[in-house]
Amino acid sequence: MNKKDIAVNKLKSLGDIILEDVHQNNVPAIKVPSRGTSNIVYDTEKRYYVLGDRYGKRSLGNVKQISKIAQMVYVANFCKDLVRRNKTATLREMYYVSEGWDVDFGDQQESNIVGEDLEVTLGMTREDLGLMPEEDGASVYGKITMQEDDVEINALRSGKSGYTISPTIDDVKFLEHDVKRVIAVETMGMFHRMVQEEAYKKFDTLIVGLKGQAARATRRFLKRVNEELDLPVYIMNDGDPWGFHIAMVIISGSAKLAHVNHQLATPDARFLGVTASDIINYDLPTDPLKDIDVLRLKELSKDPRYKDEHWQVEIKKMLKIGKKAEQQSFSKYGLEYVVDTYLPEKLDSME
Amino acid sequence: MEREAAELFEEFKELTASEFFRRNKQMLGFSGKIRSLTMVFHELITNSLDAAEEAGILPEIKIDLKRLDKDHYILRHTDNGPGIPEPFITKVFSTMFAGSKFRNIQSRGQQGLGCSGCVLLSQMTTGKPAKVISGYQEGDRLKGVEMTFKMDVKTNKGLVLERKDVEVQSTGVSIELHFKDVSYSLSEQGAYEYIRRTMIANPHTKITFRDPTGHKYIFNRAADIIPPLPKEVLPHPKGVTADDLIFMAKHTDKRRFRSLLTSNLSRMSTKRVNEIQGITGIDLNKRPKDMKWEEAEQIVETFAKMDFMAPPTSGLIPIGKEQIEKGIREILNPEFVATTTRKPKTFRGGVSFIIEAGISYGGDSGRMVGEQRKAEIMRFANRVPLAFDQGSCAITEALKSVDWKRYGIRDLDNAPITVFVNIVSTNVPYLSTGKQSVAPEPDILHEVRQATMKIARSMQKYIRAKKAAKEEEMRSKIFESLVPVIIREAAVLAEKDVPEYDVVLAKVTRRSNYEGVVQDE
Repeated sequence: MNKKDIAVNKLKSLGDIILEDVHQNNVPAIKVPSRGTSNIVYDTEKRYYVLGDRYGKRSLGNVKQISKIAQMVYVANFCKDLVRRNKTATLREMYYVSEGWDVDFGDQQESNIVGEDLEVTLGMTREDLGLMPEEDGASVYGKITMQEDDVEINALRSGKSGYTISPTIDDVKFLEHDVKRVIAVETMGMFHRMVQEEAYKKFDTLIVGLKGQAARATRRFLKRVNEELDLPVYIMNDGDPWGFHIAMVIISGSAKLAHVNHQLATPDARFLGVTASDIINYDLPTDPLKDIDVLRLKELSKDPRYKDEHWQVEIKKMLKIGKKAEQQSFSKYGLEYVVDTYLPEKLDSME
Repeated sequence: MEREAAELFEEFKELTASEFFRRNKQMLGFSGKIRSLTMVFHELITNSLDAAEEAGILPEIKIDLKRLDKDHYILRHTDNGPGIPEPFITKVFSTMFAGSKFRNIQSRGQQGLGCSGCVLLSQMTTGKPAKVISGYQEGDRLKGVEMTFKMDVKTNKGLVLERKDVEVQSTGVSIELHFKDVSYSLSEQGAYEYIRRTMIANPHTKITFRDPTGHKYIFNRAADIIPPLPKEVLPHPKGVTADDLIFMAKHTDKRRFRSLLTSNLSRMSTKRVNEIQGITGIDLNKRPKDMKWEEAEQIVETFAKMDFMAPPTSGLIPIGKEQIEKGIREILNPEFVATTTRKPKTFRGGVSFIIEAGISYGGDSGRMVGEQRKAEIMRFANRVPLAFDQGSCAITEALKSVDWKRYGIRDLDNAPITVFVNIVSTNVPYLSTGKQSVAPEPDILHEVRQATMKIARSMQKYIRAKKAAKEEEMRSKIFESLVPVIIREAAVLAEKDVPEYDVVLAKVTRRSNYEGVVQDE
C-alpha cells in the first residue's frame, strides 16, 4: 500500500471507531496518546525521544472533550480530502477553511493543537496528512538528482544557492547521486563559503545549509539520505550550547515531536564541530559565555541525549574555558582555512 | 455704671417650642433641600399610617407634589384615616410637643412635633398659610371642615384665618402646604425613594403619588392585614433611674412603696421586692412619698446587680417575615427573596428589640448606577425608612462586617441585591437628633449580623442552584448541537451512512456528567 492509501485508511478508521460505538449505543470515545512531559521518554535503543503508552480518552459525553472531538473529525475530513486530491495545505490555510465548519477554533494555536492530536492519534506526521509547515526547508548543494512530480532536479545545477528542500520532501524521489557523505552547516554564510571553496568536490559531499534550527523538511531530508542512500551525515555548527542543540535535534529528535521522531531523527548523524576542544586546539577567536549560555550548558549536561562521554567532556570543557566560538571564526586564518585545513583534519579524525 | 440684676433680666424671655425650632429647624431634620422635602413626606406619611392603624383602617394615601417655580412646590397630602375633630386640628398641625405618644411604646412618630414641623417649615419658607380639610365621624354624622391657618410661634398655637363646613365623602385628612428651599429628587435620599421604602416595610398601605412631572405612581397594597397596635409596656428595672423612681413615687396612688414597684415596673415580683429589701435594708412598706433620693439611688444600684428576666416583648410588633416578603415582592419584583424575623433580644441590659431582615436578588433589587445595578441597603426603625446618615449606623456597620464572599457575593457594592433591615423597639437608640441612624450597640450589631447571615445562606443556595441549572442547560445545548455534527462528520470520514444516534444523544445529554476514562490531561 502506498503512503496515500495508508493515510486515507487511517483517517477512515477514525470515523469507524465513532460509528462503531454509535451502532452499539455506546458513547463514542477516542484514545489520544498523551503528549504531556511525563509521557515523553528517551528510548535508548532507538536513540531518540518517543511517546510513552499513556493516553487520554476523549468522550462525546464530556462537555469539555466533545468540542475537541468535533474539531478533530472536521480536521480529519479536511485531511482526507487533501490526501485524496494530492494537495497540501498549511496550518494557517486550514484555520481559515475552518471558518465554514460547524465548530469554531478560538485561534490558530487551537487548530494547530488539534492537528497535532490527529498526528499522534493516527501515528502519522502532518505531512502525511497533507498539512504543511509554513517555512521552506534549507538548501542542498552537490551531486544529487531528484524527482519532484515530473521535474528532475540536479542540486548542483540549481544555482549557487542550491536546491531548496520543499515541505513536501517526502514526495521527492532520489534518482541518483555521486557523493560519499553529507555535511550540514548551521549558517548560510558557511554554506556559501563551502560552495565557493568547492568543498562538495574536495570531500565528495552534499552541503546542506540548515538556516538555524532545522525545519521538519530538512530533518526529514537528512534522515532519508542517511537511510535510503546510506550516506553518513555530519553537522557543523557554532561552538555554543545553541549550536550543539541544533545538531542534537537532528540526531535525536525533539521532545515536542516525540510522536513523529521515528520519521525525523537521524541517530547516526554526527557532530563535526565546533567543539570546545576545537576552540583550544585551533586557538579560535571567542566570546565569553553569557549567564544564559552557562545555564543552557548545565541543562544539556543533564539531558539524556548528551549522556555519552564525548558530549559530557565537551560540555565540561566549554564551561571550564568559559568561551564560545562561531563556525566563521576559522576565518582568522584566512577564508579558505576551514575547507583546506579544518574539515580534512576533522573528517579524518572521525572516519 | 453697674446695672441691677432686675434690669439685666428685663430682656429675659420664655422661648416656645415653636420659636425654638424656628431658630433650629435642622433639629427637625430640615437641613438641605432634598432632605427637607423627604422629612416632610416622612412626617405626613407616618402620621397618616399611625392614625389609620389606630382606627383600624387599611391606610390609603394620596400625595400630589406640584412645582410652581424653581424650589417652590405645593404639596397636597390626603389620607383615609379617622380624620381630626375640629378642635384638635390646629393642635395637631400648629402646636409643638402635642400628642399622645409620650409613653414607653413602639411608635413610628418620633418627638411628636412632626406635622407642626412641616407647617412651620412651610410658613418659614413661603409665608403661606396651611389649608386642611378634615372629615371625621361625629356620632352618626360625617362631618367635614376646611380650615386655613397659620402658626403663631410666639404662643406655639395655631391662628385660624378661615374656616367653613364642607361636604366630605369619607373620613380622612387632607393638607395642602407650600414650600420653598426644598427639592424633589429621585436619589436614594429623595422623597420618591422614601415612599418606595415605606411601601416595603408597610405592605398593608396603598400610596398614590403624582410627582412634579405629572407622572402618577401607584404603589399597591401587597397585604391586607392591619398591623396590631403596639402596647405600652412597663419599664424594666434595668432601664430606670433614681429620678424615675422618685417621679413614680410622686405620681402614684399606691399606699406602699413595694406595691408601687410591682405595679410600675415589669418583671418585679413580691419575691424580688423582698430580695431588694433584704439587700438594701430599706423598709419598702413605707409610703411612696417618704422615699428618699439616696434610697432610690440604692435601689437602682441593686437593680443593676440583680438578674431579671428580659423585658416583656408583647409591646414589640414586628412586620413579620411573610409581610416583609410581600412588600419586597410587590416593590422590587425580585427573582429571589428571603426574610427573617429574629426573636426579641435586649441591649444595654434591659431594652428589648427585634431585628428583621430581608434580602432580595435580581429583578429591581439594588439601585441602578448608570448601566449597572449596585447593592442597596434599606434601613428601617419601627417600619420607618432611615434615609440619611448611613455611614455611622449600626445596621450599615453590621452589614459591612459580614463576609459576603462566603455567601457567593464577591463584591457587595456591585451585586444586584437589596438588603432590608428593620429594628423594632420601644426605645430605638438613635445616634443623633435627626433620628436617622442607630447606635452601634454590640447586641444590635450581633443580631443584625445573625439575621443577615441566615438569609444570605438561603440566597447563596439559590444563586448556586441557578448557576448549576444554567450550566446544565449550557451543557445540554453543547451536546445537542455537537453530537449530530460529530456523527455526521464521522460518517463522511468513514464513508458510510449516518447511523441512528438517538440513544447515544439521550445518554450523553442525560449523563452530562459522564466523564471518559481520562488518564491524562
